[in-house]
Amino acid sequence: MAELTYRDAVARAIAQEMRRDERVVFLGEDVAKAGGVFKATVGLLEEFGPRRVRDTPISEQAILGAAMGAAMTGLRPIAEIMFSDFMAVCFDYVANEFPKTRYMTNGQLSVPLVVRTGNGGGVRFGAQHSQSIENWSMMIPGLKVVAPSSPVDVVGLMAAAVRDNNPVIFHEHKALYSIKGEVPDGEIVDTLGTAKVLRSGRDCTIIALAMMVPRAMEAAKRLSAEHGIDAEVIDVRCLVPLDTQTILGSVVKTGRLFTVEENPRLCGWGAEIVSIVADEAFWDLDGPCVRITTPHIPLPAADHLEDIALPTADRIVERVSRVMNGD
Amino acid sequence: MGANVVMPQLGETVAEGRIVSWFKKVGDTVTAGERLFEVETDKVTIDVEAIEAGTITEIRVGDGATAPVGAVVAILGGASANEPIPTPKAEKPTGDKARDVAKAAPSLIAFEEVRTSRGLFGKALQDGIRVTPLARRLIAEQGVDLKGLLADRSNKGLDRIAIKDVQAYLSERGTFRSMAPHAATAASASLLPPSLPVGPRDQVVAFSNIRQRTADRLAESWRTIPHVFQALEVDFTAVDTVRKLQKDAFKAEHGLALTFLPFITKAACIVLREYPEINARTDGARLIRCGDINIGIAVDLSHKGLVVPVLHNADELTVPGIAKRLGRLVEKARTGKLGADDMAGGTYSITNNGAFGTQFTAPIINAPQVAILSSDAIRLRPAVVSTSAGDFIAPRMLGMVGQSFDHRAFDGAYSAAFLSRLKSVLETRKWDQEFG
Repeated sequence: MAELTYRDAVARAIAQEMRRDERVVFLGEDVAKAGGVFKATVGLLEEFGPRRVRDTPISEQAILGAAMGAAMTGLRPIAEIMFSDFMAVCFDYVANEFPKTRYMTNGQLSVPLVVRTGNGGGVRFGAQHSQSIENWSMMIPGLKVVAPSSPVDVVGLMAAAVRDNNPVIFHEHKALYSIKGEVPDGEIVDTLGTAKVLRSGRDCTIIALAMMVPRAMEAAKRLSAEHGIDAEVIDVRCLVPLDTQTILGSVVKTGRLFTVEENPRLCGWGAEIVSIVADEAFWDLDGPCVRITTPHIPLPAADHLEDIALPTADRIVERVSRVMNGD
Repeated sequence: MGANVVMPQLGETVAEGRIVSWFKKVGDTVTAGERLFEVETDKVTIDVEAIEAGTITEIRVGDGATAPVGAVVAILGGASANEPIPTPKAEKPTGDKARDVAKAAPSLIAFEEVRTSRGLFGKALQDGIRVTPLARRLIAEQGVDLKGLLADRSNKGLDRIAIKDVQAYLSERGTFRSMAPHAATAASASLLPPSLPVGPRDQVVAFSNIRQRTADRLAESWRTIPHVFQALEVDFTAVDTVRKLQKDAFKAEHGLALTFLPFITKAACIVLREYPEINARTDGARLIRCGDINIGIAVDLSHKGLVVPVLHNADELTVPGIAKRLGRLVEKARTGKLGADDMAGGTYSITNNGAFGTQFTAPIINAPQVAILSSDAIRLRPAVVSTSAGDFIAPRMLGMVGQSFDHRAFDGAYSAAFLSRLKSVLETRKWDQEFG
């Protein structure tokens, strides 16, 4: 058992899969020699050499196009898009090519690749480098969508993503790179489409993703200590496939649902979960489903403005306690 | 297991096909990929193959016959002739069977990938009280006496029923407690907006439900309605003369004090008929002149909240009639037994703070009503009285009567004219005739 940062967990996960399977290759901007702008891939070039770990030109389309070609012809590439915002530059691959090829060729071709990308705000990078875009991929049939919140999940879910025969968009949260967590020794492989109940509770269910998970956990502690509200906290981890069984099971138990989403409000991932709960668990609801999100605005760069925009533990505590007690 | 053999879709615009001939007959065994029949459309003639192995147990569409695309033309294996192709079908349970249906696990609607909840457990809004879905289900499943539960809640001045209310009602059936504040503890400090500082010597009191409801409604009213307040002084000497004459008998007969309020209420009813735009409701775009005169009377619950029970059709009552009805409503309010009907339907309101000696009160309108009357202390004061023999200073029973009105609904002169007429009625009406 070792304590690893989220950042080091990324390199550990990629190395684990590259050691296991020669077909796994890794490419992206400044990922090899420099070890990544977020230093999440340090040491991979040294261990696996320049044939398998490649620096690319500054062209997101070239990166994903090369990865797709490699995937269709037998490799299992991991491609990095440095900032998830730049997915928009190469979105044709993400929306039209990766997810449709296996379907349109009736399974004759598949695209087993992973796009890892630095996602999310909280690090003062401004409106074009801070977006939380996991819902962009969530809306496209044919993609799997992952966003881990802890080092151990980074390793386990990355391994599962690399071994999946479908394209997986793997969102690493930029503000989480420095967090630490226990990661067991040896090979770790998790399962896509499984949520984790991080805290068991009776009164309400709080569902969170990525950076919102530690904030939801802190809020849950305070809700219990200050308000006597016993909140269950679920880390969704994977939006597609979605672990509706765990989510619905929890809502049926507590009767109340809150989602904590970093994405802007409109069409955020929580809207889909609320919709499923309203459909399938309506008669188990004891109050409105409430979404706590970033407002529908471009994310500001200024410290205090960004802090106001993103959901905080304070906001979660305030919102949940008001809704739970103020009826 | 059996399978249906269906007429295939042979082209985008093809709706039906004619079977030219069967290659197999009933009882024949086929393997997957083996030719079954030849079909002809207006575009092509092709052979149709078996998708899976089996024995043909029935041929429904024979040689030369035509069938629409998707129709079952034969049955493979042991499939029953009546077994339909499973298709997603919306379940629509009716009220009586809802409980049983809901117990069955809903099946996946494959196309939409949801399992839509089944069952119906009554309306969300019952007698003006909102009942949560989970509470409705529990009420139905436990066979809870809904009327009793609704009455219990509205007696407590509350407008929502959640699961904990049903559970509490079930466990303390029949026992009524009046308006205990819920969750009013020190721990609720952070219910307050984060900007409101709480010092170490401060005490935090969370709003009770009734307080919160009052707060929300009044804040909304104050925010949206342009209030104007007018008041004038009324000489209650004539009223007081009759009141003093009648109060002992009234007390003896009904056990109630005869106050000024029934007289003011009666006078207001008379004048409201003459000023119909004051006995009205508005949504900001329309004014609804109300046919009935239903007077809401603000009742303080020993500083623990405010309720406004309604005297329905108050204009049809005499002063003692109003006094008696009012006495009953106040008694119900103070014992927490007001029902939803007792509080609904107000068209105009009156608030009276006279007991504390206040000079005048500018009240907040009880939306969607458009005006509210206030009366305050009525006491002996020196006044100038004009008589045929000249002007004199005399002790008179004087008190202020004021009205807050919604300036969107009408203008100041209309309100002033109403007040002036109200003063005139109070001062000159033959009040003794009310007591027959």
